[in-house]
Amino acid sequence: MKNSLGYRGYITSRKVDGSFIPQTLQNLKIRDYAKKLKIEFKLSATEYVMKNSYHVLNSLKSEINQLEGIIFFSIFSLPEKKKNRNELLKFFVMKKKILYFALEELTVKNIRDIKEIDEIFFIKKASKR
Amino acid sequence: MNFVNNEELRVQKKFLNKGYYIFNIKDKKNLTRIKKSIIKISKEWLKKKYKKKNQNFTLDNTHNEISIKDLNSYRLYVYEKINSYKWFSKAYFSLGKRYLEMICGNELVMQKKCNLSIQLPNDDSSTLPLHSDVWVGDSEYEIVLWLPLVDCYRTKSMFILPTDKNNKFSKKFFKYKSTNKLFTAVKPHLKWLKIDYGQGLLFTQNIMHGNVANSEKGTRWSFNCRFKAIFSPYRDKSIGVFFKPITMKPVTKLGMSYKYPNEK
Repeated sequence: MKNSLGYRGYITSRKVDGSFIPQTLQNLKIRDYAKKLKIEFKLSATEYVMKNSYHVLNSLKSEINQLEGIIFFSIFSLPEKKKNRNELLKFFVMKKKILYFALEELTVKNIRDIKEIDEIFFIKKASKR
Repeated sequence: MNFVNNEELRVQKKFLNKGYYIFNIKDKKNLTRIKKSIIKISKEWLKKKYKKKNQNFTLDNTHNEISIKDLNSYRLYVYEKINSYKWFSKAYFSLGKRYLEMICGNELVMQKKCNLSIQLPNDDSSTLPLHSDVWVGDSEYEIVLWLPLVDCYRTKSMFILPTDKNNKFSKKFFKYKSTNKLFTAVKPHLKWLKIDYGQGLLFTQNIMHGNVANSEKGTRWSFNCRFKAIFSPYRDKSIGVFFKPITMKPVTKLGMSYKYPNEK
């Protein structure tokens, strides 16, 4: 293992990009990705089912100093609204934490990476029109 | 219309009023069998892992035998082993059957594996922050049978937010932007449940509940397992994956196999 503090998993009870994915499968993917990256995985926090609630993710902000970062199941478990999403991502980036996204195998370490996430969200939204 | 007898009515009223019901377990035989098996499995693990033979091992003193570093692998070992015993689910159900039938129904499904919590004193790695299971995909028609294997009180136990306060704070959910902030707001209203070994707790996971690091002297050991009526909504925890039918009645079986004369 590269780090001792470890990475908290983050899964959701809501649909991910329109599909319902059982929490056990989300965790399996995160665990597998952590193994591949040789990083320590810490038991996932589960976001609530209520639309637009990010209470669990917001609580991770106060825990982040005890972590190396977060492994999200997917970028589509982030807030859909660009302003809210970027506020959250910037918070973790400024704290020099690493955010991994297991399904897309993406990493956010800096502002440039956040732009890449924005582009994906934009394309996804535009292609649905 | 309500055709229940006085005892059922008393239990049901208490449950609805508080969101939980604590009862004395009558089936001591199965309770003892579960506890003895846990101790036996623990001794097995200690022997395997630490090459120790401790004949005086007690659940309350687990923290003197196991380090926090090994706690999760130990917990998983005990959890897998006890859940692999064919008699275990039935024995667990029998402990709360009488009250489950009064509060939930007599045609039930049961969580396939009973969850196990072990909380060593001052260990904050195994805490379960304030939550309501319904918020993370469980059905609002479920009930939890919580079984302590040691006496549980204060921080060695769990807290719940009483029904009236729960309803009040649920309405203000989005006012608090994080679970931590919500917890701070509800903290003065939380009730810490005192449940001794030999008692069982039935509670609705629709109300907010959780625990904090155990700051008492002994280790907490408890099981929790979900039950619900067979034909009530399942949400994300589905039949076959999460639940198994345990008390299907003959009429339901007849209905299941019935074929109209024009069906093959």
